[in-house]
Amino acid sequence: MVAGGCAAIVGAGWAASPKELPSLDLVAPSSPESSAGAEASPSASASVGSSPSPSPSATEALDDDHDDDHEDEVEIEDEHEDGDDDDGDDAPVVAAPTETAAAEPDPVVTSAPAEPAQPASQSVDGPVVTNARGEFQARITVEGGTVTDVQAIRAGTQDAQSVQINARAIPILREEVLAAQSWDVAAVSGASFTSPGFLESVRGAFASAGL
Amino acid sequence: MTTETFRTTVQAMAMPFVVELDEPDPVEAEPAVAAFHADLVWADEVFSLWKDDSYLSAYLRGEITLDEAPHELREVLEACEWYRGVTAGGFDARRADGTLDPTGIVKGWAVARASVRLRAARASGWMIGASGDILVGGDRTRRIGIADPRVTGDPAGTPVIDVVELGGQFTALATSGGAQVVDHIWDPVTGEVARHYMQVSVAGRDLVECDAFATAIAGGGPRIVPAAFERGLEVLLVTGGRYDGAYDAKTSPGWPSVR
Repeated sequence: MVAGGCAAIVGAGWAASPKELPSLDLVAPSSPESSAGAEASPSASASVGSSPSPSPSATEALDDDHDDDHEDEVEIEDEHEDGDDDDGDDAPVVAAPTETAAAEPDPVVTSAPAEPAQPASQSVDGPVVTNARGEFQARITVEGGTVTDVQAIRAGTQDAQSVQINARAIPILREEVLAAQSWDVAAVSGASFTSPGFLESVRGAFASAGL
Repeated sequence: MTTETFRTTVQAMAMPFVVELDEPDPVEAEPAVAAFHADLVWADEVFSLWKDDSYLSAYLRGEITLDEAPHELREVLEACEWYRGVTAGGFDARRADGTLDPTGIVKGWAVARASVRLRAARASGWMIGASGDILVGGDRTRRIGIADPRVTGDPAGTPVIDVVELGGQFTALATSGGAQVVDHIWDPVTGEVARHYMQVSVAGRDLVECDAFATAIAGGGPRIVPAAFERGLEVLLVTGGRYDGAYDAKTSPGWPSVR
């Protein structure tokens, strides 16, 4: 019953404003200053997945969403991607998923409840979603009703081997924040920027492996 | 006049190739570039999939065997298979019907091969900018920018997100992804559009290897990165864009940034 009701709310949300994240009114807002407070307030927080004792009803409702609205979520990601291409100013808000969020038609991102009414910046963890590729969990940052950041807290892995590989490789990577600046350089390295035919070929090479 | 840098651009494979020669022999510079250009044009005639009369097209139609084609065709097709192995499947030129589409590495392979021609210019240093991939040689280092992933078209002259030094330990640099090819690279495992990273840059000493790994990581994601480390390559992975226009990125410890 709870699950069904939730799905209906989500559906209405899409119909009314398909570019907005759905608002789940049945989840009580966590305290405004809680930036990662999953463990602190499991019953009130939306961070049902990561908390040791999540609210059972909220968990069930959210997980149900992933199944019901999978296709819609894929679409909305595409819309954000398009926005990124058209206009670099506003799109990165959501269009910049990390590698794991990007790799999945990620149910976690869009189903993490946003609380548009929240006045201050707030981080909300989505539930842990388990599928064939591993566990995924997103954290969104909401500011004044607008999602300003989407992060992946848990990166799914495909099998035991990739768990091992990731464990070995990822920690030695250094986090950076880069901004585009004017530098005096001899050349610029970027993706091949030429004929559509060449791009088509890259597609051909990789689209096919069954590809 | 031997103290200047000779800089020119040639077109091949529907792409611009920038050639820079430091202090070249003034008589030999242009012939050397012409020979370089001719090699690229030849490679296009052998490998182009957009020309019906290329050897590769004829081979894929079953009209000729590998033995009837220039031996370089076999060499490149075998290289594709080799890179499929070392990239743990991330670089995969096989099409669904079992034929091979080596276009992903043909450019890097052709540039590396043709670069030998530049020796005739007796330059103290040289650089080839091959539509986003860079190969340098000689005795001085060069600062190379990493394109802003959101920039479309030729990134030359646009603000860059990082600067690396090529010419010492690292002589080759390749970048995949970004605004140019988003949605054009597929994950070979899932078959889905690859959005692991916004942009992937790989620095090393072999342009073909850098090119193959940049494409492989863009397509295959984090699971390919350790294979690149095993080959001694360094990577810069742009993981996401921020709302203020900055980027989140990860770099390997040896990434030759000069920021």
